[in-house]
Amino acid sequence: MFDLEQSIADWRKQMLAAGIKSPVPLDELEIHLREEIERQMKSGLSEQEIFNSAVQKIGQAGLLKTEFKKAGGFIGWLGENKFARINRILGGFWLAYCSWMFFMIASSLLGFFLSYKPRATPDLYLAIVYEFILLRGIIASIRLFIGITRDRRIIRFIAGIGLMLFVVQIIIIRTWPLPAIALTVFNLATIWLLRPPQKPKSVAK
Amino acid sequence: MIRKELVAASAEPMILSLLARGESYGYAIIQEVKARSGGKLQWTDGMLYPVLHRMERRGLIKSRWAESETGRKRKYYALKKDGKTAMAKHQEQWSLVHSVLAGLKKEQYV
Repeated sequence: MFDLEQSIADWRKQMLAAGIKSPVPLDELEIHLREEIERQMKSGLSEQEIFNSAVQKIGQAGLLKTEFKKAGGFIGWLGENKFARINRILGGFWLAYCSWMFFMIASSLLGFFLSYKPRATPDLYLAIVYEFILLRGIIASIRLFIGITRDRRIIRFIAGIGLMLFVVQIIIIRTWPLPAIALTVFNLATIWLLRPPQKPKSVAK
Repeated sequence: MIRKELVAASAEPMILSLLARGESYGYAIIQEVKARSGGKLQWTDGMLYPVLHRMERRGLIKSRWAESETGRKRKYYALKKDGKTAMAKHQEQWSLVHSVLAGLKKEQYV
């Protein structure tokens, strides 16, 4: 037995799976689908035939997704909602920051190992551990940039380390260098702003 | 059936001209175009929405969600000031194309 509501729900899932994630276009499309089904109800065709015809008229999900992406411009490319956009921007910044730090420390380590009689010190071990954390940070920020938000904890962890280092710097060195303050603001903003992506709320029906 | 490229090129001026008559929503716009062209101008229904969104992003039209008399939520689109200017430009250009083609057609029969 054909269930129209279930079929519409399945169609919606297919559209979501194809990448039309933003609730607004999907709701508009669903409303359109329902209007078309309603109009065709008087045609004498079965509910299933009407549904299939309406779905065909709406068009393929892949093509629609491409068109919506084009329509969104740069903002659309950044993400379909505020949180997705913030996550992508933060992902970009963190990728730049982690990569820069990783290569800076790597070059120091290389210089150290190439030096005459290198000696293992606690600083060396700390630097190696931090390199591994930064490497994980690079992977996490790439994932965040492309929309995979599961690694948010790692970015938050590195931001936390940054904050800790700032506090240590204030206590031990008692200086307030401007770059460190800027970095701290960036770390705080990351911890505060990194959120899971917003779930779409439907207004259709 | 009208060529795909021509349908795509005429979408924006057509939407602007329809909205100049008053606010409307996606489904109604498609039905109106179908009716006015005698079904010869066929849009893939879903493709209208990316066009509407692009026009809204460019500041040509604005939208608002409202409930229809049947209780269904609809997104209504209306023309903005920039949209009116864009519509006038489109109409001018299409009129020029039309007059050139009409002139050439006339010459063929002379």
